[in-house]
Formats: sequence, structure tokens, C-alpha cells
Amino acid sequence: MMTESKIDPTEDPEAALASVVALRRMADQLELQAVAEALKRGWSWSQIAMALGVSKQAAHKRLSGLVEPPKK
Amino acid sequence: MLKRLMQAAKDAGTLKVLCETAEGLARAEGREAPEAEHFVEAALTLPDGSAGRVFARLGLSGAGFKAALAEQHREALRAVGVDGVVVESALDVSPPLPPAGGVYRAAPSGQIVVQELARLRQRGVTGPLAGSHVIKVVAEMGHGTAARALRQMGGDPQAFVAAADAEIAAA
Repeated sequence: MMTESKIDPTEDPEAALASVVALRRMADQLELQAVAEALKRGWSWSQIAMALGVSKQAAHKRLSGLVEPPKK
Repeated sequence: MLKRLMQAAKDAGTLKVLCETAEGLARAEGREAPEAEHFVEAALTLPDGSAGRVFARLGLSGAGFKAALAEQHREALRAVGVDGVVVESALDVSPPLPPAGGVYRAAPSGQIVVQELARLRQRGVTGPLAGSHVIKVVAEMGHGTAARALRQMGGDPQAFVAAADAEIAAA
């Protein structure tokens, strides 16, 4: 759920940066879960890369070692 | 001279255990490489028990560190308006990653911990490498997830540095 942000980075950079870390971590986790599910559904790395807006090489290099390959 | 060499060898062994434990903890929660907070958790598992005693000197329990980490992430997400189920899902531990292969790699904050531990001797810190040293270098970082978790527990990082120094002096 999204509510109004209480952070003003010009007032409190420490808190703002903490939020950046937490958001990045949340995005990483969401990305891994979604990529694992996409692979399980038979998506190719080209399709995953397209959905993420990156090159196939970049997606494969960054994520292939972090997700279990789908069981055949 | 021989004593110094034996100490260096023992410290290298402790550092190896710390690095491997931190990496195992990170990958068990789906993180690619260990961060400073994983080194704190690893320090708390060392048999010397000194990391836990640093927390105890401040009236805190090291066992509360992991909960403090989650709470500071929760607060950081709430602060930008992400709340409720989304936050709890984000705090869920990701599926574990397989053991890392190849050259040892820590996240940037983990690298700082390892570098600062290696630099302690140059800074005149004596005694065998122990969990208290890890708490000292992480608290000295002042910023970052681990330092924020220490604050979340109610201790100022400087208080952790002082408690770690007292624990190191008492060893």
C-alpha cells in the first residue's frame, strides 16, 4: 500500500538514504521472485530482458546465478 | 616475533570463519554477498562471545539485532509511504541462494568491515581478533543499514564503539 511520503531528502538525508536502500532491496527481491516465476513459465532470457528493459546479456549475467533453473 | 606470527595466523583463521559465516548468512536470506550487518551477525556466533558482551555492556541483547534490522527497513519503507502487506512481503526472507563459487566477494559495506579489521593492528588495537572488533568497526562506520539497526536498538553507534573498546581492553 502506498501512502504519502514523510521524507524530505533536503531535511534528512540519512532517513532518505535508508529508504533508498530499503526500496532497492524490495525491488531486488521482487525482481528475483518474478524472474524465477517467469522462467518456471517457460519465458526465455530475451523475453525477461525485454520486460525488464535491459539487454539479454545484462539480464542473464546479473540474474541467472541467483535464480534456480526451472526443473524439467 | 614467534608470538606475533602465531597471533597473525590465528587472526587469519578467525577472519576466514567470519567471512564464510557472513557469506552463508547473506545467501541464506537471498542476498548475493555479505553486508556489514551479516558480519555483525557472524560476530555474534563466534565462540569468543565478545560481540554479545558488547551489547550486554549497553544493556542490550545481540539476539535483538536481526529484529532491529527488519524494523529499520520497515520504518524506512513506511517513511516513503510503502506500508502494510507490501512491507511485510519485502521483509520476507527470499529463497536461499546456492553457495557462492569462485573468489570471495563481499558487498561494499562488508568490504569496509574486512578492510578495517585488517587495519586494526596498524591502529594499535591489540589482542586476538574477536567479535568485539567487528562491532567496533561496524559502529565506527556510523552510517548504513547495520549502524541504523544499532541505533534502532537504542544505542548510539559511538556508545557501541566505547563498549567495544572496553570489551577489547578487558580481554
